[in-house]
Amino acid sequence: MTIKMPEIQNREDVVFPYVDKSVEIYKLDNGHTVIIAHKPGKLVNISTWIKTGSLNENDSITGISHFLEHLMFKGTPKNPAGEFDRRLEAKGAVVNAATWKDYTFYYVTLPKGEKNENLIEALELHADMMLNPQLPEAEIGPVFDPKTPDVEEKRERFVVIEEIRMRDDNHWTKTFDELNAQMYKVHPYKRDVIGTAEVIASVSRDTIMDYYKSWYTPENMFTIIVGEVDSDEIIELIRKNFVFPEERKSTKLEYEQEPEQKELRYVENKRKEINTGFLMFGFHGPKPGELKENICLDILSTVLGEGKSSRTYQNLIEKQKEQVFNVTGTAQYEFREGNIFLVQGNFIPDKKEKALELLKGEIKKVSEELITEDELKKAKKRLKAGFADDSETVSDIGEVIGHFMTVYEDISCHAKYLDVLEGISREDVKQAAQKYLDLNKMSASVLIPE
Amino acid sequence: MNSFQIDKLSNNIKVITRKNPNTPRIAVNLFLGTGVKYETIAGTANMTSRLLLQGTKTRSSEDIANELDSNAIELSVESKQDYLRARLLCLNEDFETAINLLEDTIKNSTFENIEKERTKLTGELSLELDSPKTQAFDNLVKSMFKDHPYGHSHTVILEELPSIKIEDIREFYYEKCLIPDRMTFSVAGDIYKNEVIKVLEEKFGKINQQNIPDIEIPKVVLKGNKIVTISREDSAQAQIAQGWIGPSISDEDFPALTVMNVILGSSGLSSRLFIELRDKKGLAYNVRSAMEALKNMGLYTVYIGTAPNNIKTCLEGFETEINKLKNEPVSEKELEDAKMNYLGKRAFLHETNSQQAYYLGYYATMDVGAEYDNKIEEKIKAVTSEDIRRAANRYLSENHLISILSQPEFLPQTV
Repeated sequence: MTIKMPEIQNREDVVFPYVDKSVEIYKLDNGHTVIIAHKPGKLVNISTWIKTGSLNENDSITGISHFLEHLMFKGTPKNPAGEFDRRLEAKGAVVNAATWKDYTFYYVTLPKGEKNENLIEALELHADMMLNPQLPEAEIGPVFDPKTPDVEEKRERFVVIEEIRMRDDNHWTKTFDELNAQMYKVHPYKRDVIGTAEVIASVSRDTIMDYYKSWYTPENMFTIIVGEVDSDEIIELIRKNFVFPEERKSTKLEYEQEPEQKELRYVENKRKEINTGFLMFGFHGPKPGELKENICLDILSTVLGEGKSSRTYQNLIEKQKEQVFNVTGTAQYEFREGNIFLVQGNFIPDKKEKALELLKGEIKKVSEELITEDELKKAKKRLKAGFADDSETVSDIGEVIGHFMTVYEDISCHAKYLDVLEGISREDVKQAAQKYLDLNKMSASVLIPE
Repeated sequence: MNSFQIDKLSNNIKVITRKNPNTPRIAVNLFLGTGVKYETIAGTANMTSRLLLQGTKTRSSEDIANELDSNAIELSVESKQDYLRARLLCLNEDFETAINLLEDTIKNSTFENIEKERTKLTGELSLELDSPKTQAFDNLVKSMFKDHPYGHSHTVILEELPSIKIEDIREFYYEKCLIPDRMTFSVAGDIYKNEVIKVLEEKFGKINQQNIPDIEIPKVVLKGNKIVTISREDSAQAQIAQGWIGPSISDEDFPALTVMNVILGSSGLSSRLFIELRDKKGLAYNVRSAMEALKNMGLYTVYIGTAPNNIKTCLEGFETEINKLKNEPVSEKELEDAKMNYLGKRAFLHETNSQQAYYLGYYATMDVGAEYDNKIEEKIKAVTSEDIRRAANRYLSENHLISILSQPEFLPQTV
């Protein structure tokens, strides 16, 4: 089979709030999507998002998406391990990558240089890294037993195991991981993205390479360029550099769906030598594209726990006579297969029962009573300002686009968000709270001193 | 970057402005050039900065929070060794509301919510100290700067916090912080300079306080090398931080040490510590060096989070890399790469109005002048390999302190 340069199949333009000019989305004939966003300035952000993460793992390969992300930096036939980082960082680049449940992404932010020389070099290196990773055995390191890690060659397997250990010492992360395990019993979201030391210590290079070839297909890839760039020039550079070395067909997995949670699930863990207690409540939310309900939960998050005027901060910290909470907060995490809504707090350990009761009380209230007009207005303003915030740097614009392409799988939702937000009423918010924030169907995770 | 202007209000408050057209939010920073180093009881500066958002003569803390959040205005106050900084960020349309709120908090705070804030701060610091890394750094800083204001770490604040009285806060704020000669506004956004000056003059131009002389804080010299340890049975990783007394920001070696720091491990995936200790030896996920240059002196650290049985290997790894910097010249290529890395990162760190306002006000407050934000480029470009070797020898040959937190059986015996 001859491998040819991809051609543009179609182009779509989308208006983004606070971003100059329309965002251009090009679909190439091999399935690869290229997105160009214009922002004046010297910096340019290049990223490629791949629609795979822990979602596509099973118990025997848990953590492989993230391990692969580390190994992608370990060289190609053209550029040996370390070359990518060294050459780009010598141009002032910030280089990194991240893995989550639905996606993995790699980015470079750097000054585009005289006549775009840095941009051209970065795009060439980035494409080479995305398409031709070697995953050398010498960099992965030998297989070992994590219980007796007595090997000479400590390489990337050890780095990731240290990352696992580091996360073990982060009490918020531990509390979240335990919550996650309560919320998902069958869906692949039940697995931690970081995986287990057992798998990382033993997974073979062939297994990792197979995983790479199954998921890093043109159809699953979204390459995003943000900066003051000429679209025609970028498209030509992408066509030239993103020539896949072989045909890669995408696989589609059917994910086992989580049955509706009908009961309260609670887990409590203990840890020596901590002085405060950690708690998290988790509720299953709408899918990201169910925009109205999704936004209602964003509003609820703002009202309940974002900012110092939020209900949990005012009622549970400022106005309590005796201190129960040190901090409180809320957030909605967006996932392709369904969002989750989190309520969290750090508390004085011997006030655990009171802390649980207070936090539940605040959640109950938003399901029973309408939020005030002022609260609705405030939340809308805050969410609108968030769009300005997201448009200030080339990296932020790139991240928003990548998130919408891989999680929402529909970038127009970003443009529609503010219009839908405008139309939301207090009743809508209450209905969403009743539907999703049911205290009898939530999960709770608590970590307290032993 | 667009140019900036420096003006003064009638009472001598400095105002630095930079117009960045077509940007949706305006950033205002107010630096009060008095920080932790002027406090006699640890936590005074921290409590003062917190209480500035906890109620004025006409607004309760809840009113302030509501007014800020209703307008999506971000306002926070932080306390650092050399200054207090109020950071304000708002959509262009809300500039007037934002400035009014800033005026009220700066001029009319009552500081009366002291008990509530004391409790909240105690809880927040306890939460932070639950992190082993924070605990290890806390121990490093308080041990290096013992009985010195730069050593007012979380645990020192927790010890002294109960004794702070409202009078201490008021005296600290009115007699040491609210001094026009030491105040600097830095504003970046889609603004007109004259309008900004007019508004600031009207709101802040009448503050009139006696200037007080700059405080002389003693230089710290470490007596011998030392290891301090914390035993923590539950920690999965060992935390290791090694520190030296570093340069002040005005030190002639500051630019050379900045470049050296890039080479050793301040950022990125291609630094020496990253390649040697992470890529080649698999000792850590997180390994890095950091330099905090303050007005009178600074702190230089290297850090690693590792498996407890690696402590010795890591300390040897640190020593090897530090010795290399002191004994072997950095190659021209590595030197040029590090400079380019710094200069590119600089663009990255100056992308938003908020970042730009910060750097302009910061350099002015640190007495090197807002122009330093541009001059630093030339200084970095001029650094030679010999400058780095000299600076490394000057600072990293001095005594150091090592802070280790680990499960007890892995801690070194010699303390």
